[in-house]
Amino acid sequence: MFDSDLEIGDDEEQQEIEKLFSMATAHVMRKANVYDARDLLELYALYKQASEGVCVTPRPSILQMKARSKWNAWHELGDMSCADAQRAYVEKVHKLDPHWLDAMSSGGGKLSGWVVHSIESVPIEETNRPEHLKTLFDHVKENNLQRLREQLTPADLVQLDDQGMALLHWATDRNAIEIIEYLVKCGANVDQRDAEQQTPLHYAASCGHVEALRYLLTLNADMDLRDADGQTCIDVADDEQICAMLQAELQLRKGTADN
Amino acid sequence: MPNENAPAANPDDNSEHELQQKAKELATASEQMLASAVAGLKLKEPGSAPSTSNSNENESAAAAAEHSTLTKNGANIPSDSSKQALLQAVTDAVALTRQQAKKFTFWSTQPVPKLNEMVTTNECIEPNKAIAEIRAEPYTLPSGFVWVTLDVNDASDLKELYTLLNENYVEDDDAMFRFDYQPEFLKWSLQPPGWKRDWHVGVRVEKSNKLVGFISAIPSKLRAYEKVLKVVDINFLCVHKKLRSKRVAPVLIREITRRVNLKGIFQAAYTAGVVLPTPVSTCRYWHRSLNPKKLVDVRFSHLARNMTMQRTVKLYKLPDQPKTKGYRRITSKDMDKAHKLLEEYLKRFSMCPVFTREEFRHWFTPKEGIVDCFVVVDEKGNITDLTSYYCLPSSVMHHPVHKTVRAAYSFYNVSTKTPWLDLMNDALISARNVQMDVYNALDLMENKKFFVPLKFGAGDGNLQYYLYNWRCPSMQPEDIALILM
Repeated sequence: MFDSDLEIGDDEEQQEIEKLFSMATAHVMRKANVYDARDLLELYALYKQASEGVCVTPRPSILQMKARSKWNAWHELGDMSCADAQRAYVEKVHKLDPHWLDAMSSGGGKLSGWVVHSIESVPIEETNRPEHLKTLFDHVKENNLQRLREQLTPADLVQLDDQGMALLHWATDRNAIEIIEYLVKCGANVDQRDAEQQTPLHYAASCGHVEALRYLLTLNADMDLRDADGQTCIDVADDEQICAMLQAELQLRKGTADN
Repeated sequence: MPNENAPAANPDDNSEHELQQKAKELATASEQMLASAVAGLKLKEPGSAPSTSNSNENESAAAAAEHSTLTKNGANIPSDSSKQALLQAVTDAVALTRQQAKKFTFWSTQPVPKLNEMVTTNECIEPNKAIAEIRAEPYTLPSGFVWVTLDVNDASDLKELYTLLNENYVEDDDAMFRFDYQPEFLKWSLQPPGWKRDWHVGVRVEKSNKLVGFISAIPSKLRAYEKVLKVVDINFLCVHKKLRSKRVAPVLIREITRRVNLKGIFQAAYTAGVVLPTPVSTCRYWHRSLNPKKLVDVRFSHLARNMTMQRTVKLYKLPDQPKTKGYRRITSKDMDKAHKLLEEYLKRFSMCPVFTREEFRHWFTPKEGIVDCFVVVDEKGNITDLTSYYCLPSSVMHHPVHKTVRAAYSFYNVSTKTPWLDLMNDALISARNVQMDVYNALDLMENKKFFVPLKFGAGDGNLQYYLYNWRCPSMQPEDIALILM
């Protein structure tokens, strides 16, 4: 029934590049709104070359600006081979997004393997916010200290967002120690209240963020403050470890006060 | 072709747009492509001919309608997940059509339905062979490699198998997670009643004796629609990374087929992530966070931009103990009653296993860190409900603190008296109480009924169900009641 026990398959390398190419196009489809127009034009040209070959369609008229620039980009690739165009496309995507393959493996597009290891899908919105529309709050949520440094003004420290949270609350919620440090250094109030009267300590305790909690305690954050429900940070503590840390600190402070 | 517009997309497109765009691309695809695309979108009526762009739009609408009914029942947070699942289904359908263009050089030689074959019968593809017709000697391996049968009761063979799977089972080198099938788990899943050592097939390097390939079969009975088949479940097909270019997998598949045929079995069931000719059904994984902070830390799950960890922790919090009266771990004395309960319940599905008493006892006897099973017993001592899961940890690659994610995988669940939400909430609590980080379930059986209300989120992985040498109309995930590990 079989000529050979071994499957002599198609050229492995070609298959590999085709697979990468199709993953890269899927990636670009997701990121099209983040890439800038020049990059997209280059990708467009390579895509056409890879999928349709050499550009032989007539040049669009000078009035069709967009179509014409697309045509030009494609035409400029001359007689580049399909495989080379696919390779160039993948390389281009790699240059724009060195971690695009990670994003693909965590964001779907898993169709190649025998074994499927599913993880939770990335929320749609995550892949979609263009860099220039990001606010200070976004930089804090993304733990991007550098951007924060570039843009932070003193007024931002007391600003509450539409969720009623200040930057320091978000930083604590994300357990972003360096950001917390930076915000405090810039003058953020370590006992800042959110719309529900929660302090950063409430966030650290309820999230179970040991590192953030420890740091806030070294800054002598107030442990007695109550949120809108009348609860202290100990009341909202996530687990026993956090509870123990807070109790120990309470004893310590009491001891210091007594002496 | 489906990406025609992608590279030049408008900078202010959003995801809604993307969804529409993809739906449009689908609608303009050729008839042949549509047939499979619609299959990917999980067509409601398996018998109808999915060949016009209209029917495709209707199906999308139906799927959307279904998800909005689902979201009505419960919290609004996971409605995004449903949307996500829909978007993913469309993406997969597009990719599926792309795959179809490729030739399946190996699978075209095998008794499996063609990808776009219209199947209306429920029958074998090739007739059974007489033993004399079956090749007597093993298939030829590339030179330098030899066949072995592994002895999983031998500690060193077992350790080698564990290592091979641990290091090579997930093909993707960049993967953030790898399955970490524990040795005791492998022994359990490879040695159900009737197991044969001859079906634990390994490939070693002749010189170094290193184990570089494996495939397994275990005997089982399976019902497909109205017919009960003697089958094997094929699992743990694994080829060492360095051998991938040598096309060893097809030889492993042929060899296990030969060995199974020699015992008079000619059908098999298997699952895979990859789309091959031809899935009986396409299921999707859903995940319920039990330890959300850790899952976010290791990037198993993701905080939405406007979601706080504080609310996330609160959202997934579960009561300390199960709440249903009479809910308890299954005992040896419960086995026959529980077996009957499951047997009766499985009759409603189009594809399910047919367990013997011994098999049921094997698969449902709790084993710490491997499998757990709970029943609900009423005042009269009747078992009215059952829930079970198996434990399969994943190694976390490249994380400074966390090395492993402890995952519970939903196995078989039966609800006759306890409402689904109560039963499965208790199952979640049981799993959390043995420090599971996440509870995973496929969207088969009646599982969709509890996903959204119990805060499951859609996963990014599909699991395709296949039958070998059997042709039958495709099934919806909710018609499937078969779990392979």
